Amino acid sequence: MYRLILLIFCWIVYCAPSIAETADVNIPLNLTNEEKSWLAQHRLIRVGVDPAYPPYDFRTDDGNYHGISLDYIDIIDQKLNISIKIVPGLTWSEIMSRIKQHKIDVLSLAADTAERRKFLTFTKPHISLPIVIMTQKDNDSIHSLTDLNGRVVAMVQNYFYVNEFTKNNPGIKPFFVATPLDALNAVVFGQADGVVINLGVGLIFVKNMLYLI
Amino acid sequence: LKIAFKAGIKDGQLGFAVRKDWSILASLIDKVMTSIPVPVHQKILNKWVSQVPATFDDNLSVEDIIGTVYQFIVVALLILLIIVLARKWHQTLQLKIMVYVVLPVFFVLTLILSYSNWKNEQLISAKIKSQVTELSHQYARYIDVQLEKITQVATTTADILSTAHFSEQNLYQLLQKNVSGNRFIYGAAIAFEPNIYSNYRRFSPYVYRKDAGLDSINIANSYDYLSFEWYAAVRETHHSRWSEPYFDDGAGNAYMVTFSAPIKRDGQFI
Repeated sequence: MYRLILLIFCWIVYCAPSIAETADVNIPLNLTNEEKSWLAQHRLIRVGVDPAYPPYDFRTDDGNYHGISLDYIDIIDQKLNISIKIVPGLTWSEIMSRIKQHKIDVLSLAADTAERRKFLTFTKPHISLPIVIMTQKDNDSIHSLTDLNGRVVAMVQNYFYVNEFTKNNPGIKPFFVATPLDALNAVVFGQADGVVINLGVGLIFVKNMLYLI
Repeated sequence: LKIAFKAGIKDGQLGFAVRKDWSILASLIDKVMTSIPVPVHQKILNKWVSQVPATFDDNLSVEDIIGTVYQFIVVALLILLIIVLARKWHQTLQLKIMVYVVLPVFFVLTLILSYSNWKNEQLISAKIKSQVTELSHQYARYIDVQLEKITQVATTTADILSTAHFSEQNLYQLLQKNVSGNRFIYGAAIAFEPNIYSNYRRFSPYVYRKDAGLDSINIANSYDYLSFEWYAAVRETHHSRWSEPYFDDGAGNAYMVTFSAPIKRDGQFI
């Protein structure tokens, strides 16, 4: 008996990490009748995913989408028992215009702005990230927003910060690109003096050894 | 690149967004999101944030290391257990089973674990290598395109000058246009063989970036351009070419590479 208990104890110690991993599901959702009937009528949900926003949303060369949002989409898919389909091959600007036309139903990750509320309903935010200015490492002439006056600043078209930033800083010359990587490239190759970027996304690219130069 | 300062706008609050007429779906997603326990949120976040290794040396994630340490602790505990049992039962069958079965099993297990960790490391560095290679190709293509544009500027200018006769002022205007039209061009010069351009014995108008604007000089006043690679090599071969990187002392005062194209008027190198 003593040995049996010891054995079980050992087994539990050994398996504890994997038990912890599986113990997370099956908290009841308490759906209302209205929600249940809506779900019954809408089996297919088309979601737009930014192909170039790592580590939150991104597409790899093989055409598959990955990232934090995708993990959440998988969970939502399972728990609501519906079919969520990613509409592939679109840029962020294309995704934004399509959701306005109801050709896409959901954005996997979008920032809440007053302007977007005209055509979108937002869930509670699960990610909060500061927006920063990045410059070349040896640039000593840009220390504050006022230093950006008359400078070329790269930003991604249709990202949420564009309107607010250009309104707050009318002196800058915006340089619009399609993806955060293009925006960073613009600074590295000297087409822009600075870039407006989500801190998390900027850090991933820098950490990814793209810009150790 | 470096992070310079905050952009002075509110932090991005990011979540799912649903088309306006399907608001009910937003509340459904909210319900699912709140039903996910905090450790799972944390796990998803860690998975993606620690997924990108900081350097080549640091390619084991914290989870891997904790996992390995955990396994070793378990093995150590078991060995301890065996020793305790051995004292208790002296030379019994149980002890023999322990020594001949359990110990080898854990030895093998440890081996397998070490191997799989080592294999993971290999996989990760291979992946990073291919990513970096792809990136450098991407940059190389980008630089290629930019350099190609610059060669076109030079050859077009040479073509124009092979037929047209420009005044000194017009030459400087042409060069100013060349430099201001391409961010990657630091400076542009036209250099003539001695005594071709009537006003001077040696004449090489040069426009280059200085401070925020452009400056113009005659290089012949700074140094004898005839002996410099960017001139001499083209004069010898009559073919356009890129120079090696060099420090342009006296004229541009910067490190640069130069593309030179020959100007030929009526078949004669000028």
